[in-house]
Amino acid sequence: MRYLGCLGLIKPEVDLIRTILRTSSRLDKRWALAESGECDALLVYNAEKSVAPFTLKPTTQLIMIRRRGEKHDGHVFLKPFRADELIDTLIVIDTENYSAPVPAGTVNNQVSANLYRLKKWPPADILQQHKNYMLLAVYLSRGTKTLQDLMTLSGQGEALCNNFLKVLQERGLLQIEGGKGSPIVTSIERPARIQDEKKNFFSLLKAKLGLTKK
Amino acid sequence: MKEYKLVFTGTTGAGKTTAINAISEVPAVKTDVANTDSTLNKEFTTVGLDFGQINLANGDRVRLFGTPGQSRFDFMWKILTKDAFGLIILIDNSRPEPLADLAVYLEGFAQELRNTPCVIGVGRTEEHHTPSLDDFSTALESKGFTLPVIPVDVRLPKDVILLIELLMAQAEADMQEEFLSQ
Repeated sequence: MRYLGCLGLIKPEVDLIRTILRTSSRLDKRWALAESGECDALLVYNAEKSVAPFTLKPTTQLIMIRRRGEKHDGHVFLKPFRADELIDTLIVIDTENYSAPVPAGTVNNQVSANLYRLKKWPPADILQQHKNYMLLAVYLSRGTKTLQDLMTLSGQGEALCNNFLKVLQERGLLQIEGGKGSPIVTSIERPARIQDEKKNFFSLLKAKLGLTKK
Repeated sequence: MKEYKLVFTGTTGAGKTTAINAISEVPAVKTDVANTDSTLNKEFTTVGLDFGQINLANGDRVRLFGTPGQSRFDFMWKILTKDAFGLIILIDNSRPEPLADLAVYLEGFAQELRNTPCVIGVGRTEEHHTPSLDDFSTALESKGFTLPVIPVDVRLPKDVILLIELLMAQAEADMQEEFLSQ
């Protein structure tokens, strides 16, 4: 369970957020409202100087509340509130904080030997407008991929990639081949071999479009 | 200095011009003229092409081209798509036959789609729920394509940027395939 604290918000706003956390099927009850103490994310309005009664962990994400139209960076939640935006932000925090970094070469050999390929673009209820899911689907749509390939390409952890594969498999959207598998190339080897013009171009374009993680 | 090409195509009124304007860093060059086609509910339409540009930090440029929407200009589609790093097909879900529209572009770009990353952006899905995004995916599957199909509002830069990000992800996956097959 993750905990979200609210600082500087009035009671009806806090009640609204509590309702969103309780009822969102996308959050699947993974988040609850914290009244005090440690929290995984803290909504802050009007730049409070103290975070009491909350305490911050090294991984706690601050979500600054801004008015629509105000300049902002980092995680923000915009007033007037929209439930889908809060849910999107919490899912992103979930993904950033709780997906392990790519552990090249550490995936279970049996699982990594399978080759997966997307047969059909997944429906909206699977993707949920979640960009990370869309990117995973894209990688699986271009040739067969192992779990390790997917983790390397996406930079996402094993749990997220595996869960996504499982959902696709349950819906009959995956073609799965076992056995030989493609040669596993670790995340250390691969960039060294694909340092070509196109890769450099994509890096520059991503930076220009604001797609590079800060 | 290198130049890269990204092509927007789709039916008249699907928002190619708007999409280019949403992300172009230079004032987009338009070749719009007054629309004389009474079946189209728009004042101007693109009869030539649209052009915009994104400048990269190293001086390289991404040239953004919008094809003319009318299929009578389809001879220009292939010319514009030559050596493009990606193709974005925009579909207007308010038109009478959006799936048939998609089929026109899949056929028109069949050769390019073999090795050029491509995404489908479907507009006006909030007011026009059918066909659903899944209907588009099913239509693509029936023609042997597994391409991203996402709802877009091309007036929003973030939606256009997402389309480009999905194109780049396709290319990155393709590069990995090429590497493994070496």
